[in-house]
Amino acid sequence: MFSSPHIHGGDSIRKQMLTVILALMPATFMSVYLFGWLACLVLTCCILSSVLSEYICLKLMDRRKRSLLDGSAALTGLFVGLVLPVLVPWWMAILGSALAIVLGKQLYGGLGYNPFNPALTARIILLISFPVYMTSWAIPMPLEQAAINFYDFSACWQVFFTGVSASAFDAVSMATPLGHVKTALTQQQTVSEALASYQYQPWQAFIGLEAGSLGETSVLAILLGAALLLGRNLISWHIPTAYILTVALLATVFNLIEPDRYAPALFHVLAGGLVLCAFFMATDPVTSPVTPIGQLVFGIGCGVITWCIRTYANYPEGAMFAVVVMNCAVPLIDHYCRPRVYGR
Amino acid sequence: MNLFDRFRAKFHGGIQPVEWKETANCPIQRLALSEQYILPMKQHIGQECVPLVAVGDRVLRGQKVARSQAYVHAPIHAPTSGIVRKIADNPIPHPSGLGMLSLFIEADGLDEEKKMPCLADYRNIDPVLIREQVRMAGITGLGGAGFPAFIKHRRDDEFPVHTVILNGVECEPWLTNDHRLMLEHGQQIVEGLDILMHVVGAKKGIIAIESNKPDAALNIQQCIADFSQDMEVRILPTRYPQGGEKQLIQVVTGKEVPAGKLPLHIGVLCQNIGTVKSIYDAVVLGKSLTERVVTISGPQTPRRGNSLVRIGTDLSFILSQHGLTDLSEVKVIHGGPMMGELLPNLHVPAVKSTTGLLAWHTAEFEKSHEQPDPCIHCGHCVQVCPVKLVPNELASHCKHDDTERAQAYHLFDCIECGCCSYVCPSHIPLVQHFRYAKGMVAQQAREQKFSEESRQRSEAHLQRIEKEKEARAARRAKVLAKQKALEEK
Repeated sequence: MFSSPHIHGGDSIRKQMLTVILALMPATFMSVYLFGWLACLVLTCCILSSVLSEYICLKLMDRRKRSLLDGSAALTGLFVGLVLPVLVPWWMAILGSALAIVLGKQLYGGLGYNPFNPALTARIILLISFPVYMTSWAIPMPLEQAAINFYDFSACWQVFFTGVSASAFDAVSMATPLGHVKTALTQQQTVSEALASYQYQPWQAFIGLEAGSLGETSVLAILLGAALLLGRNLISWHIPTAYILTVALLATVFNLIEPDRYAPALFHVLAGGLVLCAFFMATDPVTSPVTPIGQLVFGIGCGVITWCIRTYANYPEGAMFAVVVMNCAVPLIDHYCRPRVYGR
Repeated sequence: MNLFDRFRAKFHGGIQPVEWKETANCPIQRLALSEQYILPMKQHIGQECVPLVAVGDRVLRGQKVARSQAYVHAPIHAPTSGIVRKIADNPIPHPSGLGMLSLFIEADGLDEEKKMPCLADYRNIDPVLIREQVRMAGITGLGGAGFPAFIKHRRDDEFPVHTVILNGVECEPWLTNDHRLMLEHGQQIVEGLDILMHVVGAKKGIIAIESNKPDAALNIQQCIADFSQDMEVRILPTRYPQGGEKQLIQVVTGKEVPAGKLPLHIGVLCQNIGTVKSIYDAVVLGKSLTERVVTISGPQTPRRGNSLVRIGTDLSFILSQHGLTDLSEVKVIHGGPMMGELLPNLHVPAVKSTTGLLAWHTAEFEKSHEQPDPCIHCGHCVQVCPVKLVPNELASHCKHDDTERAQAYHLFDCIECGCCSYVCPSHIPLVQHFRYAKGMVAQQAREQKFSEESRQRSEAHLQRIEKEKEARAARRAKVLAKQKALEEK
């Protein structure tokens, strides 16, 4: 028996997933521009192994194959690729995607049932298991003529499957701004000294001409995609705004108190994966609150944890940990942050 | 409205579905008389009516043929003159396809009418008498819910009504019967509003019309200009479900009706356009409610339009008059597409709450009811819910039969407007889950009441037995004492 309403707005999971993939295109193109064929290889490998993992899981678990075509597996694959450093070997790309799909999503019951963001779950497991690979950052192409020509397909193919030789490694790699500042601070340098020695320029960080994971470097590209998501009402402003403002506020306050030890707000906002996480990871519908107040609480929580990890913990970047930790709290947040019902 | 109220004068969420109001240009046409009319004994919220006539009686149009002793009910009147042929169970327009005791009237084609006294000079008549006339006319809310109208017209010194709001919003897609009424009978509607303001003693009358009906708004504005200073047309931005009573009151006054209270408690009376037209007919012309305007539309209907339909007309007859004769591959919705019900059987009568009949081709209709995917918590349902529920959480509690949790999530505040299901990318039938849970709570309440009564009965029974035992023992003791006394003597 069919129950009202008898008309539908026409939205579907597939449409939502494809829109998010579209929104990731600026960041994807930016990574391809910066890291050439190597970026293409990493991303393609991630997407293919994600879809394959999804297919195997659906088959083994005897679930509906229809969800293979909804684009969610491909999207997870793309996400995994975009949060990996470009110098990861092929098997890590495959392992990461498989972890995201199998451990991050299907074991919990498939689409809609996972408590943690699958791509970030995979990245955290990889970071803890293979810290060296996950913290080797390549110098982006346009900055300097690096030892690897990213626009040479066969060279990239070689790097992807056999890795960079130990002798060439120093020539192709550099630290991320966050990592550099963290190291400098432990060597008793001030923040301004550290930024000067890195030749840090905020506009470069904004455009994306710095070391970092494939999709996280260019704030500009991410904002372009975010505009699409906001315009299509796939995300609301609450989480990203609360998240970024919280980090900025904490950074500003502490920077004013002790500028030598605490980096300024602009540096924090433009550095690392904050903007990517704020617009694309923390807003993942499955693992974020549904109520507006809950979303603000979630965003603030992410911001506080991110800043704390960046400032006090051993890891230079904390955005992914922050989002995953806050993911745990989502059911609780949703329960306590319900809106006031009409007339009550 | 103070500044704070003005700031709050919009309802939360809502959607903007495609309007499909193509019948807005079709003037209301009187439907041909049918040969038979069927009157279900309950066409309103409240107590079921009991027939006042017997098989073989001749009845006139407007003659009261059924009533109830209960306060909350609306009497039923014969739609035309004719003979009562049968009093039996007959299906009603409801998705369950269940039947109800109904009167079968065979029309004699004369259409003789019996009227009530006209109260054309209503301003000089006691409001209590006018309210009684509205009650006698069997008028219910014609917007779809079917609540007896007179109940709302109570004068209460503790809660004086200061504003009467006419609901000309008609936010459901496809439906245009209120729109046509406002265009063709503006004068009567404005006068009906005047009657209502007199009955409840309101100082202000507001006619709320959505911006997609500028012609209707203009017409009503002109009618008001010649008539009264205390009335005002309020043009509202088009948004579904603005025609919901609580939503409309919120938009117009900036105030919310407190949960569990009535609009009366914040000094507001809200009435639908069609209802007000019937009130005018009843008070000024002395006519009982025997006909209403129905929008007959939908992609599968050849001749779409608005018809003035007698209550009790067979729906298949109405559809055939609009060119839809082959009903084999057709799904018909009773009401609007957002809140209306799919009819399993088209040989059922039109009732007082029949706002529209929308026909779809079966294949096309089924397309809009896709198989649901899992919830991805996108939160769109939360964004559109006009009562600010969290529909996805609520639905998951309902699905797991956790009625306690569902009620804690305010299940019974849901107005079933369907916005959540409309936007759900996973095509989850959220409203269906809510209806199911509401039904289950009602069922549990019935069962609990039954078991409570049984328990009391059995306790009373045990007590009685106990008492009898004691009485027997007492008697026995008495007899023994007597015997003992005799022996001692």
